Amino acid sequence: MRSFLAIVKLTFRNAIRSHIFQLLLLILILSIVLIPNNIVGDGTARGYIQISLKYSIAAVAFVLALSSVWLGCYTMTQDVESYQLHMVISKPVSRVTIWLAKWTGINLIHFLLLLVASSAVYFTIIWQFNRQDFSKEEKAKITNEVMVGRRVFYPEFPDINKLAREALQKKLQLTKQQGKEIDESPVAQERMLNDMRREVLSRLSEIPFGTVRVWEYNNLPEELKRPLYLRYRFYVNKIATESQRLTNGMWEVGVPKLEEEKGKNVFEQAKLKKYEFFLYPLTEYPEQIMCGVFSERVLPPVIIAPDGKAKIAFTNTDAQNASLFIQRSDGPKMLLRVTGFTENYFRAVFVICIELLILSGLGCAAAAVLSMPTAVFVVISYLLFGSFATFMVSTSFLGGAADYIGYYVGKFLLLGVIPMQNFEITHFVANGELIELSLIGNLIVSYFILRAVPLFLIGIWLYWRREMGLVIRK
Amino acid sequence: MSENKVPIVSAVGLTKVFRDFWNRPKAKAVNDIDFEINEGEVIGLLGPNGSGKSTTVKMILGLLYPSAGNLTVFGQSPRAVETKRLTGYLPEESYLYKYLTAMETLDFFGALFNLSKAERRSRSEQLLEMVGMSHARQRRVGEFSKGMARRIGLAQAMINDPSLLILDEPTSGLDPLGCKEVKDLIMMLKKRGKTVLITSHLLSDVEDICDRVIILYGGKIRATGTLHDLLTVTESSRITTPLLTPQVTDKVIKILRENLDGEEFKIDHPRRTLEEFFLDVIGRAKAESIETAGVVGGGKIADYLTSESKSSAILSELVGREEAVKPVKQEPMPEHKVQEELEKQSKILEDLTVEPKKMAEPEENKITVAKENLAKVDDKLQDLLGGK
Repeated sequence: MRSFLAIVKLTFRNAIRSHIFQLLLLILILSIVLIPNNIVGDGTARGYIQISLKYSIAAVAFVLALSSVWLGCYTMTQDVESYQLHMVISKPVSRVTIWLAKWTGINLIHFLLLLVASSAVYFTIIWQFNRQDFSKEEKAKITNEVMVGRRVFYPEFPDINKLAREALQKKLQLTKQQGKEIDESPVAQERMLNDMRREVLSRLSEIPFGTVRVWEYNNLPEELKRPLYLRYRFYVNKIATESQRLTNGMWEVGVPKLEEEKGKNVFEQAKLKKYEFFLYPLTEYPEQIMCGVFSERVLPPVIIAPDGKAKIAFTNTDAQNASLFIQRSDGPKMLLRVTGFTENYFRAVFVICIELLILSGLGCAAAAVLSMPTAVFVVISYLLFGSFATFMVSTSFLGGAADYIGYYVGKFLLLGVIPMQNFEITHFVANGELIELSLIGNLIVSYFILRAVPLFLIGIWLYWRREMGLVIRK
Repeated sequence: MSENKVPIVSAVGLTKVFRDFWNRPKAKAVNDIDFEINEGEVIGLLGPNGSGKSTTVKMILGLLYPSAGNLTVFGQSPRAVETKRLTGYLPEESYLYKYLTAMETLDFFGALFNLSKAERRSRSEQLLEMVGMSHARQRRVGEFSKGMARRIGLAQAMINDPSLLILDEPTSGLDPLGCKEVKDLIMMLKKRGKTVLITSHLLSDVEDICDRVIILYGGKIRATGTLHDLLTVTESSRITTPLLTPQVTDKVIKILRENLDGEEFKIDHPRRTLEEFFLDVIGRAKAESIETAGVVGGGKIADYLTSESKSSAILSELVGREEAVKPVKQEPMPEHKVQEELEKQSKILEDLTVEPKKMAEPEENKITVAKENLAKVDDKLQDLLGGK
């Protein structure tokens, strides 16, 4: 243990001597100081706090991520190439211990910096919140919507592929009835199906004037005593941030009532238990809603049925008879307060810690056998492959052979590479959305344990069997 | 002595071939060599540049892996962690961490041996004292001269009181004082039963301290054996005497001419080595307390290095301990007395150079007494000549 701690301490000291690290540290300090004090925001109090929070955390995470990769590669290669490692490995210390100690040293320094930086950002945000001349309503809004950790429930989404196939069948039947010719080749059929998918998606996001759209929610907490929040963003005429205006609409909530189903006995009765929802309007008259920005309203907890389901509806009563649009990611989502801002904020910091662990480990693993510039190149390439793979797999429409190749290559790559954008959690914190423990668990298991650790082990193994005497001294 | 002692280092058919990226053989640095290093030996590994010395040392340390053959250190693979617990290594250049101070360097390397903090501190203090670097303990290694860094390197090689000490050019960069201290240290370690492997280009240093040498060339062992066996020129004789008068010298020359039948011979004054002379000058300067900004001569050898292990302690008891003879300071004699002494000794020598005759017992007694006197006079003369 002494030898392990001695190498950790030495790594710590060596790391802070690196000029690149010192430069990154300066950038970090500047980010913490300059960003919160120079943010203009979107003109609203909420926007100010949100953007300040998001950019500050993002800057801290980015700088430390760069530093992790750099130091991981630098620390491992520097004493190999200067032969200082010869003095260490001629002592009774296993190479595994050396690798782990160096990795630990790098992570310690970054965790310390992360703690200091994130604490500085946290207290700056709190100070700004208290210092700024916000009205009571604005402060209440920020406290409820931003400086909080709320669990998000998205509405049930229909099976797009199934709907697209049904729509295509109908269209084909109609075309046949009309006596028109249809290209029945597989390529044409696939193209038509993709067109149908886009149509279905478009239809699902549109709420034409005078129509009612209903959303159903599952797995809501039963016997809830606290209020729920409904968060949504509508667009009028088209999905774009410019040219948006006020619109009118009416929200209705479903009040659950037990359907009377008679079973043979009590147990059967329990199995058949079902609830039906009766929609009641939340307001007497249609309310004004600003399009292009998020809006929230409070919902009573009684709308949740004992089986965890809920139903809400919206009627478009736009004054200009225009259609409204709502994207899938914009909700409407139900939000339930679970934690306070502090806990949610430091959950985000924990996710950044996992990210730094992975990045430093990748740097150390690559630098175990490669020279400094090559190791940095390999790690950056690996991360870029992860981004590429995520992008290719997320494509909703596959046009030609290249798209298919990219899609399946992306799928294959995602078996091994880690898409670091999945560690991007600043939007959660900025929007007051809870960083679920299941998300953190998934990141740890899927990315750290199943993908990163095998790469670390490969790096350690290569380091263990490397002939250090072959390295040409620099 | 046990006949079944396991050698500290054993190499059988040891070969190292360096290969390129495509695994094609590039150079055969070590070519099928066999050697053993036994406990308590001081071995010199010699050879010109590129002969395979460093490669052999790196294989012993586990920095390189043999391409063929078998190599064991303390009966185990050189890569075994436990092997390194008993090994100390001083590389050719000091690959130390420049931003650490001398004390921190030793503390770090001591920690790698899992020594406690107190033990590390104690040993570091003693080692710094030993290598004459106590005054610079808080200075960074990067600020040191080559020789000073080398001393720290030597200190870190000794931090664990190793059973096998591998020194690659140990005297490189050291002044003659430092060289002597290193040699004294090696001799002390040898007395304690430690094994030392030295590679060096300074053959005079190797000659002074090594028991055996292995000479490599082209990756092969060209010669190996004790220095006595390798260096003794059995075809010649050498006789060293006190200073002879011209008459005695002529007689000696005449005898040699008569007996050597035209073969060449040489009579001259023996020479001290430059190192001996240098050490003498510095010793006198120290005695006169002349100040220096450089390295102060090393102090006493660290206690933990001089304390005997159990086995060597028993051996010491059996064979009796050697005690250093303290030189007796003598007052220099006046010139006329010196001349008288010289004539007296020349007479004795003259008698010795006369052809031996069958002597009666009283004569034999006389010669025996004369021989005893000669021995005493020889000692006295050494002191006189040294005082001049």
